[in-house]
Amino acid sequence: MREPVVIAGCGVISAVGCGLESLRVALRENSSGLRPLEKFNPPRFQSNLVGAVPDSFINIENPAWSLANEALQQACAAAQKILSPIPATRIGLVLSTTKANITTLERLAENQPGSETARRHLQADLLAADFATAHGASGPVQTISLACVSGLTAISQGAKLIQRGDADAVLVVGVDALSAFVVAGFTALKAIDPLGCRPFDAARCGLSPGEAGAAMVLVRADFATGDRIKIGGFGSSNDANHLTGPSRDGSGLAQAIRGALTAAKLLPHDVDYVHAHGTGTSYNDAMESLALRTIFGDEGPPVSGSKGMLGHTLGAAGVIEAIICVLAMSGNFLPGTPRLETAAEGTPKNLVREPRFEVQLKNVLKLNTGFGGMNGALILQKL
Amino acid sequence: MTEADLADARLGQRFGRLDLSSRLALLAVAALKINFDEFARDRIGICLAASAGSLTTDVNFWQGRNGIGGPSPTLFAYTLPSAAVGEIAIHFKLTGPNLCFVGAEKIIVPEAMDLIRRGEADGCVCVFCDVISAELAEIISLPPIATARACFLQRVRD
Repeated sequence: MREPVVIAGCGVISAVGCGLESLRVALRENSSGLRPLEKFNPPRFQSNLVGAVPDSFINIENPAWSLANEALQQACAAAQKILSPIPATRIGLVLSTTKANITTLERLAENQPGSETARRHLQADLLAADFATAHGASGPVQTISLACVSGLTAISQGAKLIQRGDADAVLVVGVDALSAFVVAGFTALKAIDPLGCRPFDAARCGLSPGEAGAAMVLVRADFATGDRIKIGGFGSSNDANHLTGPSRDGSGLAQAIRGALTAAKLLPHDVDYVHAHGTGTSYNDAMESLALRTIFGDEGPPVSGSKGMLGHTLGAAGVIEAIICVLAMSGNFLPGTPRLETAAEGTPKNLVREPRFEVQLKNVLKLNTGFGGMNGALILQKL
Repeated sequence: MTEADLADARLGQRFGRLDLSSRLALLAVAALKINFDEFARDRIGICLAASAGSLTTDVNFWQGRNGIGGPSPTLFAYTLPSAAVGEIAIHFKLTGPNLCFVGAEKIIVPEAMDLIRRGEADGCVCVFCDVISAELAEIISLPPIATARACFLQRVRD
């Protein structure tokens, strides 16, 4: 019997503001944080509508550090009582990121100055090491970079480190900052919706780039008290189909969901809510809908997605979206799907457009998929 | 595997279009000569670590930003360290679990063993990519290198 691992504290900074409360309010109001940002104006970029954190929170030379550091501070403060008796050597850290401090590369290419630290943080593993030092984690440190499944994989790795006895607590932090590099890349792929991301909408035509820092403190269950949410299980798979496009039949994501359900010892009908990847790209939403139908049939659990609120935050997405699930479970509500107007044919019947309140969520399924055919499914459970 | 090994390598029509890390990784796995037909493909995981992530490809991608038509969409797909994982999965049709780390090689085998011990996979392809171009070497103050190596772990059969 593996020791349960629970979430002891969370922290977040995103397009809807700094702190859990700003995210909670945005979720309850179903609002969107997408806004135009001049530096991403067309025609160089496909759209300037992005999920940007207010400038006042960003160190322009090292945005990844400022975003993740803020989230880590919040999460560690929330879990302070639980963390304080744990020796630093028993606290680990897992970083999830796709591009670390890639803006340094942009600055160097334009012959702009860059500090040694900003240059060092181009390397994601060194960024992780510096977070660990700054936040008193001298246990194992890992850096996960598995496309848009990085965040869920990082949470799973954090739980594994604790279950293996390598740590008693693990700080999981996901981060990616908005950059010309990434927005130009998605522009090159013609993957950005000029009108803003509309997950599962009939008129959807792409994602909206976003940025965020999101962190959670994982601990062995016996360290925490009160209402607790545990990492129930994780499933991972690869479509083995195409580098940038999802499989058309959803079989890879369905395989990952089955893996997560098996690990959590659950059956499909036990799942109370699914928080989707929901990028707003035509093929991904269609694939995800097919995978959900494969597992749950036509009448599945409620499904919603948050990228119309936050944009696609890449390495932070899995962590911040898992935190959304935690807020929903602890606040007894179902998040809506901001910016969804008309649900596309074939999308889940129980798509949640507006938030629903007074609901009890015991078992929640969080999904992410990514370039390279990666699929991840994470189960969160109330203990 | 090094860049010298790439000269005569032919691993399908797409091989020449992959970035350097993905080509080296694919070649290193192919050199293992594993008969994956002996396994259920959904029970084979891939665990990869890249010493410098995808920074070499990142530099190449960003150098093309001012070209006609802007940066390359094809190259953008390789500006993720896990692109090599995807290429290995596609080439060998491996649909099991994936892990991709940025950093040192030592993490790979213990994590692959853990995947097998936990019952998430029956076997795991382990790959280490150490690719630092001359341009990147100047930025991060590490020596240029281009190598990949692989091994395969599997559950002991009764």
